[in-house]
Amino acid sequence: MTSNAPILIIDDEVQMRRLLRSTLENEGYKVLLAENGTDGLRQAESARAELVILDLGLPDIDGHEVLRRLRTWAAYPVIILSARTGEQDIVAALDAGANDYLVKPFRTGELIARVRSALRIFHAASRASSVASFGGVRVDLDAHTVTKGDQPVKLTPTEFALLSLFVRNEGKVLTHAYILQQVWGPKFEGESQYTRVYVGQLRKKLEDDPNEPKFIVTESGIGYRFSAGE
Amino acid sequence: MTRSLAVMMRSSVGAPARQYAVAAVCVVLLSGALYAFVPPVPYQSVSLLLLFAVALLSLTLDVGPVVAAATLSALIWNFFFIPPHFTLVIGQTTDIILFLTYFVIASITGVLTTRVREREHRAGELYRLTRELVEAASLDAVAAAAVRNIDRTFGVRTAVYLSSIDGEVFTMPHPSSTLVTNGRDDTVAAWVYWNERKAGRAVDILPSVRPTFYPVSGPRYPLGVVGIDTGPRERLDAATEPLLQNFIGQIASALEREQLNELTRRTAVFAESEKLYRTLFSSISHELRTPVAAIVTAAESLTGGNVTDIGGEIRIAAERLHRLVENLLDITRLESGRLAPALDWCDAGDLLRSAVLKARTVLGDRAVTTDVPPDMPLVKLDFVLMEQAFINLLVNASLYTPADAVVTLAARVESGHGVFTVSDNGPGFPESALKHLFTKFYRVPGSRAGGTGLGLSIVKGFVEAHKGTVAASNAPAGGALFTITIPTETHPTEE
Repeated sequence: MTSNAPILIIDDEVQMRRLLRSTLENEGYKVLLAENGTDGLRQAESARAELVILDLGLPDIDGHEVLRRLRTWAAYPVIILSARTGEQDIVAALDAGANDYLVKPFRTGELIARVRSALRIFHAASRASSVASFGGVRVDLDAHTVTKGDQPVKLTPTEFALLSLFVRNEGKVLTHAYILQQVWGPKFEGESQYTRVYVGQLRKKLEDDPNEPKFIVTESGIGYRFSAGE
Repeated sequence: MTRSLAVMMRSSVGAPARQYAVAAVCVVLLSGALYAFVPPVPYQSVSLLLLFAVALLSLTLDVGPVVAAATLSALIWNFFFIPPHFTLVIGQTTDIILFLTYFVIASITGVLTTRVREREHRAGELYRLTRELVEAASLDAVAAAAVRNIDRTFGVRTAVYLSSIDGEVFTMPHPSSTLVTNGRDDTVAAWVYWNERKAGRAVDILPSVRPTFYPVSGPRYPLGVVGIDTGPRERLDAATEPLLQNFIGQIASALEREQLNELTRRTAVFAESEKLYRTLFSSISHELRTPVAAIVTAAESLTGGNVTDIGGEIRIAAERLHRLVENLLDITRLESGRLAPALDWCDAGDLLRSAVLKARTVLGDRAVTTDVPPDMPLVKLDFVLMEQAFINLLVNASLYTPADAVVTLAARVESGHGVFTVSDNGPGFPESALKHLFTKFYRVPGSRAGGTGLGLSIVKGFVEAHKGTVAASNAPAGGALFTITIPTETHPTEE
């Protein structure tokens, strides 16, 4: 999928910028480059970008601050770049409104998949369908029914709430804290065992092989990502 | 009366013997002078003048000499002035009353005046101590002020023992001490510190040492010990002891104040060095990682074209370099002692699968099975650290097993511990290597190139950060077996 609006890359490393640009241009995207936070924010305001790739370690303004300022007016997807041991940074950025993240070094295929997925979710946000299918599973969000193959699947209200959160955020990484807050409410902050227990139960009921989950994927130290499959 | 107060006044008035002499001389001279005027001066008036003299003496002399002056003047008045003269016999009843009244008033005046003076003197000493302690701007200055004031006020030699801020107990007195102690004294001082009770010569506890030791106690914990040597006197008398206790109380609060100051200073320095460490570490991490990340990503895009082989080689080398850099950064984090696991509930199956997924390219064609019981409860671990530990064990397995080996990961909970095993059906370890495996930079002799000997020591470090243990052995059926045991809370997975 190509579009006319460019992708803005904010990274202080010239090699990373060039690599990102050539990879994305090969895929037909237009690309803008910024080497620091100030420049990045200025370009984001003047040009109508449709996606931002933001490195968290910038020399002038902290990446989190760039994200915060962007989010005061921009709704388009932001993908964070981070080092391997930066889980806390990633979680903070996701909770502050980033849509996805990539850990350096990433594979080019991974980068393209994330960009495509983020743009697809962004453009599809308006036409929310109440029925979703993945694998052999069919979920009707309005009727509160779930079937696997031809068999109805019995879910508890909490399991259903969790599943519909995943389905509505297909392709997006959801942090543990966000899931707790959305499904259980603010009083359950810190009761992180719930997400693990209920994700386990959903996998048992929906996955073909709960030991090799394909739909609800674990993101180490961050949360889960629901994927409807290829 | 009080020996030590006599000592207090030594500087202004003199030794006790001299005081008695002064008292006697004053009384005798005045009496002699008055004798010349009687009559016409009536002998009753002489008693008033003598009383006046005793009152004056009580302003400078100790209680003993004042009482002596009162007694002596009463006797002289009786002997020389009250008729019949030159006898101690008193003729008239009014004179008897007069004589007794004289004696009582002289004694009371003397004693009361001296007591007021004593009290004022104590207040003065305490005030001076407090002022010097307030001015002391370090623990050393507090110790020096304490020694100086106790020496001066009580006429003793003093040793001050201070515990260090880090809770280390003293082994010797502070260098400003004027009392020279021996090893036994220091041992008794330590006993006093721990038990917060007096000991030494003046008390029943450990009276065989020469000094007497007093605990210096803060509101929360003991701060130190004060030892005094009273010289020829066996102890401070009962009236002076409370003043010393008062001194020690003041010294305790000054010590505590300076300890808190010192702690604040240290915290500031520590925070500064912590900040420096973080800045340095993150900048070095960034500098090492960025070029490697660029090479890995670039090499990956090369492998698509007809230069597949060369691109693939670059990618494999870059990924190896990447692992090395990450290992070095991990070992640095571990050795800095700043690594604190972020414990959170983990699904053990998730943890093992995630590690396998990330080690997949290194594992190549090796079959990996995960064996987690269906009712395995949640365990509380740092997911990311433990995932890296398992990745390292998997990388290790791929380095030391043939390409068609089978690697098995298993998890279970046993009496409050999460037990994880990683095993393979490869050649296992030579027995002699087993105990060195987790040593940094150790590599099994004769193993092929491609490892640094850091991976397993990182595993050990991450596991130990969880207060757990890791052990390596040869499985009964052959092959390497790593067992990780971590104490953990558990939470059932069925609601």
